[in-house]
Amino acid sequence: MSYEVAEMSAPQAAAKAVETVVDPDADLVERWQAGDEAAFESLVRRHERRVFGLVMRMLGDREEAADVSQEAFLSLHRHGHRFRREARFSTFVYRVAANAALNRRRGLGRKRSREEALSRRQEAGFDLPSRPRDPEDATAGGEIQRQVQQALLRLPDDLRAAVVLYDIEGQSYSEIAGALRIPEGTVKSRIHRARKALRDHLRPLARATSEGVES
Amino acid sequence: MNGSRVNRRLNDYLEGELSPRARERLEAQLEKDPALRQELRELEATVALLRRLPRPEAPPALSDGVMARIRAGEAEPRRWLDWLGRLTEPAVALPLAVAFTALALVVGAQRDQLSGAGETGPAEQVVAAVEVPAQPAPQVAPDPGPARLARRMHRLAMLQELARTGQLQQAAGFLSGAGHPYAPSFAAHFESQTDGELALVDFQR
Repeated sequence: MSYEVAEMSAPQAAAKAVETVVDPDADLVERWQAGDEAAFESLVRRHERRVFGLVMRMLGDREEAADVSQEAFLSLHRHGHRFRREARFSTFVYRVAANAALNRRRGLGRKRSREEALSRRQEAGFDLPSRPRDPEDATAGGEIQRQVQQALLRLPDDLRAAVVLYDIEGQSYSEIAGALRIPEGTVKSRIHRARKALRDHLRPLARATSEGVES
Repeated sequence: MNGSRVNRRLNDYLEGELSPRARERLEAQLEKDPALRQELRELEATVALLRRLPRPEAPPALSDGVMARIRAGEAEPRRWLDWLGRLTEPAVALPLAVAFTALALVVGAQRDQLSGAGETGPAEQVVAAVEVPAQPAPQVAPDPGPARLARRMHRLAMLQELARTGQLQQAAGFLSGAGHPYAPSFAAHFESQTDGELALVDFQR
């Protein structure tokens, strides 16, 4: 008997298979560090989606994610001369973005926890929604995505960062270890714990999904 | 297997990270255990749900906004922060730590010398001259009356000698800094005397 495992997307598989590659950003980084602002603009355009994606999954709010993404790029520009090309530039970008998101989470901790408590009550049917839902939530797929995002937001920050970088952003263990500055073993352990917690939060959805796949 | 070990094994299985032997063992277990199969299915479905989440599109104005803020000078390097950051780098932190340790040792040694462990300075020499070495310290064992009187007389004689030879200010300064219980009144008298005719101030106290 064999069990089919969840398939990785092509970029995810490629990212996990290739640990040491030539940094595709090397030329732009060199020009930028030599003072070429246009090179930095190219780097921003190249990485804006992944930075925004990570921050958005970490924070769960588009406006806040846009603001924090801008701050992350400004911080990157401010401290760019400290990047010594020992890791890939994308890892450095993820590190800066993850830190920016975590800092914002800490800053907004109390406000956020109130909002999350409200959100949980709404899910349980005790309160009316306080704001209109995103148009994409009108579809079944959108509703599923909203539930998954809500479950992500219920994770502790350290677990969420690891699982978002691995399962959504497709980073390898070693890249995540570099971005979060923790050992690879810790990365793996956090991913496992995050998945277990998510499975508990999403059990009905996961059950329905697995039954749907089997039938 | 306990819960966390099961969770780790199932995750490793999904990622294809189990050895062939461990994989076979787990699959044999899955054949026998419906609850474990259900756990695996739910974990697999959870991972699939996560991986199906789309990467959101960045707002169109994001990069333009970043570049506008950079041009407005909002991302100028903060050199002092860099310097602070560099203090934690081993190449900088190690020599600094060695230098501070050496400095602390030198200062400590000098303080030991000044406190009498080594050579004595002028103030300590005067103390040595005024004190009667053979007498026990009054705080440890209070002196009997005659011995205490004799010591006071000896001190006063020494101080009178200092006054007679015109070293009034030095004597007053010494007394003030030496912590002698009668230092303030002695010092006041020394400062007021000009001819060395020193009364036995506070002698009977």
